[in-house]
Amino acid sequence: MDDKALRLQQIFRAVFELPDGAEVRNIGQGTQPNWDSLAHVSLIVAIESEFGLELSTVDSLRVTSYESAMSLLEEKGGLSASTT
Amino acid sequence: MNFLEAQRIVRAFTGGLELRLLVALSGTANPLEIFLRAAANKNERAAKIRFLPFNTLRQALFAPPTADEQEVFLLLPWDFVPALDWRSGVPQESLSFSDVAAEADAFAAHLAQRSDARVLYLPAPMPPALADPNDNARLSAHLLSVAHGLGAEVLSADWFSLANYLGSGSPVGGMRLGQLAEKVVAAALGGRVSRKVIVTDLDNVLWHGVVGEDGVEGIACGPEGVGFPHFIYQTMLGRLERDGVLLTAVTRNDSDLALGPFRAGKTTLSEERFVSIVASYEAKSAQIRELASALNLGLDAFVFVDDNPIELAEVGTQLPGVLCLQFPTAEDAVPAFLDQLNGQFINGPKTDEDRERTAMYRRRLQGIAPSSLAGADLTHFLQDLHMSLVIQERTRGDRTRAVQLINKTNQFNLNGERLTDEEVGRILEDGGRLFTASLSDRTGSHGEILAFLINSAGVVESFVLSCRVFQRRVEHAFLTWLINSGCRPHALRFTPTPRNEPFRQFINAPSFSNADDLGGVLLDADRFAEDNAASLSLFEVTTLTNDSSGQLGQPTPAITSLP
Repeated sequence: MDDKALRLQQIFRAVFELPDGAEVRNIGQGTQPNWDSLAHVSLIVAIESEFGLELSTVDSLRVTSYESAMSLLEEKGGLSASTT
Repeated sequence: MNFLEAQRIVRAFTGGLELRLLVALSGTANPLEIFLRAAANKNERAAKIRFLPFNTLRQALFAPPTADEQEVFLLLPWDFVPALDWRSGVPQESLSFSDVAAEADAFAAHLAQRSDARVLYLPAPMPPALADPNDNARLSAHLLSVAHGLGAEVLSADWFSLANYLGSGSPVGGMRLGQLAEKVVAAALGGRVSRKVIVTDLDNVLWHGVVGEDGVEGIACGPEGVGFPHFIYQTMLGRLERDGVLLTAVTRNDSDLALGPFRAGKTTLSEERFVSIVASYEAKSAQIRELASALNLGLDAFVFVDDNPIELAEVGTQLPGVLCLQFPTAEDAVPAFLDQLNGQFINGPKTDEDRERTAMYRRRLQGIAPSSLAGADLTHFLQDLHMSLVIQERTRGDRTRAVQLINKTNQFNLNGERLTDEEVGRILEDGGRLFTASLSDRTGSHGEILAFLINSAGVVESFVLSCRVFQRRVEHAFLTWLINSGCRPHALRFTPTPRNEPFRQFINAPSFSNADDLGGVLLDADRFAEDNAASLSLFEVTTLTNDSSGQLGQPTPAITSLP
């Protein structure tokens, strides 16, 4: 699995206080009960910190699920294809 | 310190003395929490952190400090003058300089009554609240002056993120939270510590260039061209030394190489201005520890300056009390770096003893030998670099850079032999193979840094690595990858030279053995690959080939003796 995807999943587990190995790829604002405004801020700063990004308010509002976060990283941080 | 690193540190922390901390910020401080806890844990403290509710900093000043709680105020311009808050928009009536300056002074006077509070000031850009642009500039300067008057440590203005501040109320974006947390905890633990010793690297710090690769004539530290920033740095060190700060140097070099520029008169600072210049290929943390012991000073007296983030991480991990500063790569970053360096040494009246201190300690340190103690385990740091290695077979096609590397590299060099392009071509035509590797990590690209030439009999003719990327285990990863790919060297045509000590250290491992009368060394490829699998796992490896088949070439046959 791509290293950046692995790191993003670790971030989701940490921010939403999920156990190691928990499936996070289907998490969204509507389905994750503890995804409140504080958790959202924590998620955004964790992504900024881990991937060295500065996200605009528009970028931040786009992150409504793991999938949209991945999509944002592909656009901003260039998620690479799997390599050996 | 990024987010996942902070998480790891907090998870791994087993306990320590409690640090009760109030982080007084008028904005949103909660995203800082994990980083603060990690920064405290790195100092072996268990942080108990309290934040103020949003926008209540001024009110908090009316309550007395809580006993046993260290207050750290993180101030922004609008804490001094609330009308400057971006979140309120630009004031509808322009303000007068004298009124806002008086308001700022009153706030500062109120805060100054909390004598134990530590203050950090972030000089964020302000809305143009005054009609005259000159008055806006005066106000900015006045607030900075008032902050200095409070004894504040002034942070870099580019740490402020308007997007974050408007979006979440946090004035600092995620990229800077780790650094901010380190500043807050450092302020909480010690306030303004005056250091006593500078340990400086030499290559690409005291001078531009690598003396082991470029020679004494090839390094630059004069007031011109690429040497200019290093000249300025040397004059800074010179001023500090005159003020009583002890100068030392620790360098991965042979001693005669390290001292060469001094003895050739190329440096502004003479050798005698240094208490000690330690040239060794062993861990720098071990040398600094030895210096501290010899000088009878605590590690918190030391500032370490290096350009290499690996060296900084090694020292910072092994010796947390030492302040590690990275020598800037860009000229525009030099002023901030010098300010930060200067700020570590509290200035006061200088005595004759201050001025004689270097001579006294030089006498005490005569004969100090490099230490061979092991350095820090940098596995986590190297993992967090997210290094990528692009390995390219250059058996056919352009080999210019490979030949250049073979001919200019001295330290990590198998045998010091210089090969012409024709000589390399003959080895390849006879069935040999040529590889290069390029390295990048989350700080950027380091370019093509490795060249490897193996002949048709499976003997390595040349193996070189740029000194810019030492301590990353690139050489271990590359050779392991090569063995796993089916190209299995069984021997290396090694010759010791006056400069290739780093290569000697590489082959000082169980998988290498002497080739007795034939010279060189034999390699147990299976053992090497097994012993260095972890090094390979530090890298994301991509392979390229200039072979028209798109496949890597056929593996070399295993042979058990040197031809």
